[in-house]
Amino acid sequence: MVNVQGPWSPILGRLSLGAIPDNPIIAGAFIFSVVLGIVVLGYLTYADRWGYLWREWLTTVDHKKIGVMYIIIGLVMLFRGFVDALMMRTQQVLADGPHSPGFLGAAHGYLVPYHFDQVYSAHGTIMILFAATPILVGLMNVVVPLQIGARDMAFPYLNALGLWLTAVGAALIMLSLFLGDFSHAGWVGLTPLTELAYSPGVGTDYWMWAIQISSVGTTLGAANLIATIVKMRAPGMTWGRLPIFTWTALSTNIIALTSFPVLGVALGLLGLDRYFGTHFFTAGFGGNLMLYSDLFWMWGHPEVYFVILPAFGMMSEIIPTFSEKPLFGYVTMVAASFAIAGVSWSVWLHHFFTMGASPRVNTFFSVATMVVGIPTGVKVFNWAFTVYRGRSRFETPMLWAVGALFMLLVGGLTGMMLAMPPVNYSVHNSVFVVAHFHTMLMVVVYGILGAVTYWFPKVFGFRLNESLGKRFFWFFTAGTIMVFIPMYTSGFMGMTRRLDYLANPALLPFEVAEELGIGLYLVSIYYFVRQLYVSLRDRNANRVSADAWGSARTLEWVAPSPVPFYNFAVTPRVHARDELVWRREQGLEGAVPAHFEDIPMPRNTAVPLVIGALALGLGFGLVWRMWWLTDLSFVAIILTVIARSFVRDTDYVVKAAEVERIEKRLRQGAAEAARNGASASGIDVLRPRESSP
Amino acid sequence: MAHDAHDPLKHPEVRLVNGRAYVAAFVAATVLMTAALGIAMHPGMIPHAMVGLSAVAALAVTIQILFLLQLDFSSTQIWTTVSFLLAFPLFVIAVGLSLWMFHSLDARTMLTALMH
Repeated sequence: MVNVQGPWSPILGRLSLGAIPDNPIIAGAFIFSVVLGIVVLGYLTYADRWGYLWREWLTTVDHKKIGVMYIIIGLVMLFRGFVDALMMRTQQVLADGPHSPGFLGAAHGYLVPYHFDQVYSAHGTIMILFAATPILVGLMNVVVPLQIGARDMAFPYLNALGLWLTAVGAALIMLSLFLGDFSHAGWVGLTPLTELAYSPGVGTDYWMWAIQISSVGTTLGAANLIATIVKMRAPGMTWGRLPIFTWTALSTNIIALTSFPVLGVALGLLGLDRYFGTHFFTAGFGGNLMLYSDLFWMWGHPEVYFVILPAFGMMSEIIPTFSEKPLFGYVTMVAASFAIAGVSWSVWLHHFFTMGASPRVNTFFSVATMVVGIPTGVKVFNWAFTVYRGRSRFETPMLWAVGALFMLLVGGLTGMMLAMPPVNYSVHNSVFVVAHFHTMLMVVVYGILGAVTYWFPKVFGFRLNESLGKRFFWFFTAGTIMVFIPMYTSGFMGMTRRLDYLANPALLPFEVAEELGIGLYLVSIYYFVRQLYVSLRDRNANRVSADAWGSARTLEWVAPSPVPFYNFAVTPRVHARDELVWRREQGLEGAVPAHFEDIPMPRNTAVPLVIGALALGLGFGLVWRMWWLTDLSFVAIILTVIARSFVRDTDYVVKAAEVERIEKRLRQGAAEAARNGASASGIDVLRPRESSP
Repeated sequence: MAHDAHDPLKHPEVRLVNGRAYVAAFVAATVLMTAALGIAMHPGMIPHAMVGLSAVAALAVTIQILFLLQLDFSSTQIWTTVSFLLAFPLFVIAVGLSLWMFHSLDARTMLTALMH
């Protein structure tokens, strides 16, 4: 064990009162969180919702509810990451030139360099791993079983475990805000800065364990989704009929399953350096800090495609629905997804072209990177041909999908520029690169926001407000343009990234424009929250039948909206790639099963939540070096897993009569919704289940 | 449905449990690891120490695959086996390309010499 600087006690480890930061911004955030927490807890107690929360959400193994919880975690973290972005923009607009004023102890701007470094590290870590990844995993969780006609995931218990491990990672990052500090070494963990000699505090440990624990959850989730897609397809759902989103989910989870272990190893070796004094990545004693970059990006680049491929899948579902045409080039779309997934494994070195590899090595990775453009180009043309001569309707999901297409063009073409090592040498580490990968991640964000709007009625039974959704879209897009075009420009002018102070006052106009863009994002968030509120308030006026958009195509739209907990009353038989279109053409839309059967369902369990809580103890103990907590949590996790393996009563049966009754109620609700757009009761996924889980 | 009323102990993957194979794999792994340790401690013991170590490692992996993981082409295990085989190209790409880069990187950056 390595001896660390500062006091240590057997009970509290490195934790002391000094760990509470005395920064007024953090104090403000703390008060905000406490007030919000009191309001939420107060409401739960006042409305007597604790039992409901426990039974219906915290102990659930239902893939839709788990998916919704993933998305909620992701949206909360998206907001936190956005606040970090707001802080960075504000710092750069204030700290411009030698005469710029300083506030709150900073020489320029209002953030001292050490704090600024933590803000950008947190922003990157949160946005990639705790916003984009959970929301995508959540959407796959909700949609994939429905698209393939399954009742749940292959391993519902494992699914819940993945959720709670992700939640632990997010919780550790939030804890770091109020107790100790966060890593200041960038979201990638720049070595040797992450080594104990240069980062003796707990910040790097928070970063490391948050990622390590949540990535275990993501890996388990990937195995689960792959098993689900391979083994749980309904009769007739052949590989050639698999909806395109499910195909991209399969390719993306193959990437996750193969690449996340590399991240685990890289962080594990870093952990050995920090805790046991080994020298894998140290700058000396035989350590090789370049090996860390190599290992990190060996995961990092596949991770980029892990987030982009589901977004491509979402666009491929939304565009045909709102063009009222089948997807153009289904086979090439599938092939392109797998080609991108395959090539993702041989391009990682382009993240460090300037490290000093030989021209031949750089050339190989440059060519491999450009090859990605071919399948991506195939996809772009396929989407364009799908829209061509279709009956296009620009409802909110379609706006997001088309917006994503434009982002992909800008991000993709600048990516091609960066794929050339000579260009890369001149703009490496500039904000041009930052603008490029943000435009690419905007493809993901646009895809996600489109998909959330698109599938929301399937889960909740009512549509989100259209006009507010469109305002959200336009303000968001205006914000994107205002932030990232000036960023591309200033990057080309030579502005490097991660600057807490800009020495060149000529950059000020660009910073002002970006700050205005952030303001537009803020307005868009207001419209998003208002959209959610208004839609929830007016839900009875916006209720939908099974096919929420009137032109949906795939199997999930055959099930009633909102989907009952068992998904399909009778396992569907699939006849075509666009099953709902086939049924519509055969006059079978809305057909009712002749008779119902008993449905075996997985029983709720608190075990994943318990393991999650213990993992939080483990992570917290490791960060603060409280060995008793670490040992206790670790042993308890193992014992819990063993104890759970003895539980035999993990399923229950929903009787056929019960299924028939629920289906009848749902059909009545849908019929009434279709007749007068009102009076159907409640939100099914939000109301207590009628059979005991 | 993964969740049905069947006895989980009758699941084909659970049925693969085999005490004798586990013990055999454990004993073989212990012997081979001891041999590897011996070669590492006394490299002069055999003519080509690195080749010998690699051979021992390969043998250990093979024994674990056959006896511990029981990968074969039966209908129960075919997906696992194919997944395992498909991981090989990734292994070759990841390790091979890294080796290729580091091969010239040390000479070009001279960092390794500085780091010792």
